[in-house]
Amino acid sequence: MSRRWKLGMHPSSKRLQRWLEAGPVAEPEVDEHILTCDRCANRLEELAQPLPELGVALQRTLASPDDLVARLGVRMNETIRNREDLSLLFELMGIPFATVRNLMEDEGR
Amino acid sequence: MNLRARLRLRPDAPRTPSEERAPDWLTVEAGWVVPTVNVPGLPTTHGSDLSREIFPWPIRDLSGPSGVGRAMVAVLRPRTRWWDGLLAMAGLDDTETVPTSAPTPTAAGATTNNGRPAPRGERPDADLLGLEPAEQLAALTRRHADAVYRVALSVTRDADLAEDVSQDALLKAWQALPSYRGDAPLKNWLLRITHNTAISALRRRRDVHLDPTEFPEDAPSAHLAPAASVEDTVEDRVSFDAFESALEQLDELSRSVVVLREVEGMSYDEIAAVLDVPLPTVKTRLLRARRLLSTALEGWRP
Repeated sequence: MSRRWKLGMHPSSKRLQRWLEAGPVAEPEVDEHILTCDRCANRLEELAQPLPELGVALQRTLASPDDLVARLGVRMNETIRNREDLSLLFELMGIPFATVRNLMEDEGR
Repeated sequence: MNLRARLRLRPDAPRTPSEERAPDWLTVEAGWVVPTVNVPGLPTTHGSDLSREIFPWPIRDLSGPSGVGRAMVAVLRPRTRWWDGLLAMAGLDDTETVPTSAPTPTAAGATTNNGRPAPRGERPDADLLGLEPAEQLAALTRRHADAVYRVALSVTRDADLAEDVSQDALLKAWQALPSYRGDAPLKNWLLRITHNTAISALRRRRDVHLDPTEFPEDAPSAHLAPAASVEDTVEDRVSFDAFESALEQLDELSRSVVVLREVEGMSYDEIAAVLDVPLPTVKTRLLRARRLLSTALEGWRP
């Protein structure tokens, strides 16, 4: 079947629909085929039902904290100030900046 | 303290038309603590290497005489709030400001943005490039922090780590704004940085957790912020848990694909560019993710 598809043939709409309903495990050949077949991927896209609730559910589960912007502002401010202070210190000590950078990156981890 | 910083443009450094008129030496004196500075690619003096990778000042701001001065202000003022120097540049405080010059018209007559061509086409964030550095970071955060956080959380599935990643990604993007060419929306570029940063953070965390003598404090999902409000019913919560479990089952790439498509509303081409994967991969991952998530959503309706 796969060989036939490689020769320019494609799974029927019925098989594509089955792939949508039953999943890649039930239709491994289709699953393999659509990895390289743009046409069938587009067809699957047409066959798939729109899922308006999916976006809502994703937004809910990935919702950011209410004070995210404020918190990030404070944290970035602190990071930048620390970098300035540290670089100044090393500057005065005459230590190469590449060393400072490596140290700061380590600190960031 | 009244020390002096001196910068000299290197003779072989590439110069934009605006720099042709730059003096060889730029002197900044307003109580700076570090006397001399070496800015890579432009001036050469003795002192430290102010790489843009470590200092959040866009190289764009180092591209001309006023830019060099601006970087000096921001970098060399110690023990102040980081935006103080920037306020000084903008003339918004009572400290001494450095010499500045207006953007210079190019030979073609078009105004450049600190010597850099304006991005092609109209972009929602085009105005951001013309802002002062401090305001750029504030605007980046204000406009895109939520999307950045969503992508970070979709990859890491850990609220604390997602916040760390958001911070790193925003700072990286801010530092790298001069390298933004404007051929894609700035948000897409920022989300690409976010995705890469999140993947790296996740790898580092996994490496740490591979130490057999240590145990992670909690499973990643334990860090997730509670999504349900007090009005949520138990039934709703149970159904939604199924959705979150299904999301956990997806790999990081599939989660990112589905978030960029369903929440951020990106086209397939844009997603492929952001995640640096082939277009068919985007499509198949999205189809599989949708299928899995829609099954999990059957018992839940918003």
